[in-house]
Amino acid sequence: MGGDRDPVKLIRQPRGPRGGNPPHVRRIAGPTAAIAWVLAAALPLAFVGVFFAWPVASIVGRGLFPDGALDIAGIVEVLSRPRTVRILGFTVGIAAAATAITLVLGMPIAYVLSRLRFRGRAVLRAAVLVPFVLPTVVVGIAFRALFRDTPIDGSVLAILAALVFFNIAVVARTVAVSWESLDPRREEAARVLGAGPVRVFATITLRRLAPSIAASASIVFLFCSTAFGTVLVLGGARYATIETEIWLLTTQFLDLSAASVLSVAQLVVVLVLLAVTARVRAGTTAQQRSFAARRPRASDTPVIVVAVVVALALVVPLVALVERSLRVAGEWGFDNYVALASTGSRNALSVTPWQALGNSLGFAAAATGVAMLVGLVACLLLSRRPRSPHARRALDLLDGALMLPLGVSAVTVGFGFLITLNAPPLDLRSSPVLVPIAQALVAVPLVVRTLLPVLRSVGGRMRDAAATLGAAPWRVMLTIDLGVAGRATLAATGLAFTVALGEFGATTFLSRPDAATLPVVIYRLIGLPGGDNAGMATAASVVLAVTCVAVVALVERLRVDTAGRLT
Amino acid sequence: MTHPTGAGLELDAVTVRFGDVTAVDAVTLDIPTGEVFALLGPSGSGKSSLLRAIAGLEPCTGDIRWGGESIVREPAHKRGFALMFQDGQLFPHLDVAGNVGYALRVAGRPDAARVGELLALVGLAGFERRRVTDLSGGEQQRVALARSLAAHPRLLLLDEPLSSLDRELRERLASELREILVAARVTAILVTHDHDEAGVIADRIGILDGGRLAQVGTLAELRAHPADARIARFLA
Repeated sequence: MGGDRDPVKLIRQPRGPRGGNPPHVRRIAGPTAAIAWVLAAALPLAFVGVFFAWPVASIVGRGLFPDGALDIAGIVEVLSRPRTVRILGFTVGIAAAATAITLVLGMPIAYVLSRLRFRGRAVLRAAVLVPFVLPTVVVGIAFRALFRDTPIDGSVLAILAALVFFNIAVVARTVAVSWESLDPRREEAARVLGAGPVRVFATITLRRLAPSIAASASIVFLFCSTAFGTVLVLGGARYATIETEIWLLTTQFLDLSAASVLSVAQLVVVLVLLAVTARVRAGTTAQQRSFAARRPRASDTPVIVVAVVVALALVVPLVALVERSLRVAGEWGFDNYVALASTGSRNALSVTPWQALGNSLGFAAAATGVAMLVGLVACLLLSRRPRSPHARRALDLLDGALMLPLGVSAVTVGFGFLITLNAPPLDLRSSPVLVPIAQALVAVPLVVRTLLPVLRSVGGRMRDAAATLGAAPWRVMLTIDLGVAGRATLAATGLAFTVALGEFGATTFLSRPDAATLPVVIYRLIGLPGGDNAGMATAASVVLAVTCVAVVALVERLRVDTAGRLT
Repeated sequence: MTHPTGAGLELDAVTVRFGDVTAVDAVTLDIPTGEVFALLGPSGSGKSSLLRAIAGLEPCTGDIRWGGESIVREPAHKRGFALMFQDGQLFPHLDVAGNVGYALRVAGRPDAARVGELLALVGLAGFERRRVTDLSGGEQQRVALARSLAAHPRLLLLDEPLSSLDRELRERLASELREILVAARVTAILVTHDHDEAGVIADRIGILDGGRLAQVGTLAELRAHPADARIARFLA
C-alpha cells in the first residue's frame, strides 16, 4: 500500500462483513423518501382503485354472483341466447376484419412517413392523426353523411369503413416509429446479395417490424372490439357489438344482470389482449436512434400512390360531413349552424348545442386536470428503477393497472359508476363530478403512454448528476424530469383534452340532460329525427371536430409522438 | 498524520455490495485536500462503484469522512461533491449556460459571470447559448467539467471523463484536464482504466483489483515497485 498511511488507521479493524458483524448498509435515501414515494403511488392507485377497479369489480360481482352465489345457470343462459352468440361473433368478426384492413392500408403510410423525405410530410403526418382524435360520434355522423342515400348506409360496410378510418393513425404512426429505427443498411446488404425488393421486404423488413405490427394490431383490435359511439350511430339496432349491447341492455331493457355478464365476458377478452400486447411490447424496445429519411425514388411510386389515395380517402368523410351540414332541404345555407342556438325541433334537447359545447369544454378541462395530475405522478413513479425487486414488480403492476382503462369499455365504466357510486360512502350520482372523472379515467392511459417514454429517457444517471450538483430529489424532479418532459407534458395535456371532449361511452351514462355534453347532444339529435335535427347534428359535429382538430394542431406543432407511443 | 492543507477525504473500510456480489471490498484510503487522485483498474474492478459510493449514489458499509466529519449518511445533494460522468449526462433541455449554471441556480445564487469564467477555463468561451445536443463529444465533456466545477465542489469525482472520446482528443484533453484541475485548485478523484491517462492527470494512483485497493503510489513508484505480477502486467 502507499506510503502516507495513518498508523492509527492501519491497526483499526475494518468493520462490516470481515469483522463478523452483520452487514449494516446505510441507506442514503432516508425513510422520508420512501414514505414520499409510497404516498405518491397512493394517488394513482386510489384513483384507479375507486373509480375503476371498484365499479368494474361490482359489475363482475353482479354478473357472476347475483345473489351472493356463483350463478352458473344464469351466466350460461345469457351467453347461450342466440342474440348474445350472434353479437359476440359479430364483435370479434368485425374487429378482426377492421384490424386486417387497417394494417394493410396503414403500412404504406408508415413507410412513407418513416423512410421518405418530401414536402408535405408534416401535413401527411397530421392528416393521418386527425381521424384518431375525432370524437367517435362525429366519425359515425360523418360516415352517415358520406353514405347517405346509398345502400351502404346502415350496413356492415359503413361500420367497417368507420373503424378503419379511426384506427389508421395507430398503425401508421406506431409502425413508423419503429421503421425509423431500423438500419436500412441491412436491407441494402440483402439487395447486394441478390434479393429482389419484394423478397427483401418479406424476409427482412417485415420480420423486423413484426413486433410493432403485432403491437399496433392488438391495440387496433382492442379499440375496434370496444368501439361504442361509431357502432351505435352507424349500426343502430341492426348491428350490435358487445359494447352497444351492454348499453342497450342497461338503458333500454333494464336487464342489468345480462349486461353484467356481457361486461365480464368483454373484460376477459380485453385482459387477454392486454397481456398479449404487454408481451409484444416487451419485444419492441425501440432503439432511440433513427435513420435519416431519403428522397423518394421512382421505385417508391406505387407505395406513394397508395399512401396518397389512403390519405385522401381519410379526408372524404369529413368533406361529406361539412357538405351535409351546409345543406338545408336541398339548398345551401347556414341554417343548421344558426339552429345550434336552439334546442332543436320539437324541443329535442334540454340545452342548446352551444351550451353543450360550453359544458363539454368545462368538463374536459376538469378531466384534463385530473388526468394530468394522476398521469404525471404515475409517470414520475414509473420512470424510476428502484433497487428492490419487490418495488420493481409493484411498479410493473401499477403500469398495467393504468393501462386497463384503455381497453375496458367506457360503457362498462359508466355503468359501473352508476351501480357503485350512488350510495354512501360515495354518493356522487347526483353530482356533476362523475363526468370529468370518467373522462379522466379514459385519458390517463394516453397521458401515461405519451409521458412515460420521455421520462424514462431521462435515466437514473442524469438524475444522479443533478443530485451531485446539489439538487434535492424534489428539485431534480422539477428541473430535470419535468424540464425534459416539458413539451411532452403539453402534448399530453392537449391529447387528454381532446379525448375528454369526445368521450361518449361513459359520459352518455353519467351526464344529466341539463348538463349534457356536445357528443351526447349530437347523439340525441339523430335519435329524434324529424325537422332539422339531423342537419343540426351534422353542424354540431363539425363544431366539435373543429375544436378537437384545433387542439391537435397545437399538439402537432410540439412535434411529440402521441399516437405512435400507444403501444 | 497531519495534512498541511487540512484533512480531505477519508475512506474507512468502505464496502459496496450488489446482492451477493461484493463490488468494493473494505477500501481504506486518505486523500488530502488539493490532491488529484486516480483510481485505476480494469473494468469490473469496482472503481466506478467506489466513486458512486463516495458521491452518495450507492449505499455502502464502512465510513466516509470529509474534514474529519462522517458524511456517510448524507444524501448526495448535501455532500458538496460533484460527479462528472463518462458520457457527460448533460441536461438536453438546457443550453450550455443552463447546464453550467445548474448548480449555482440550485444553490440560489445564479451567476452569469462565473458561468462565463468556467466556459473560458474549459476553452468554450462564448458557447453560452449553444444547444448541448449540437456539441461534439469533446465539447460536451468540457461542458460537463465546467458544470461540475461551477459550485466550487469540495471534491470533484470524475468517472472515466475522457473514455468516450477518440484517442487523439483523449491525449490532448488529459493534460488540459490536469491544468484545469490545478488551476481550479480542486480536490479530485479520477476513475480510469488507462494508466497513462492516470499518470498525466493525477498526483497519486490507487490500483483497484477485484474490489480491493491493491497498491497506492505515483505511476513511477508503482512501475518501479509493483506489489505483484498482476499489477506489473496491468501497468505494462
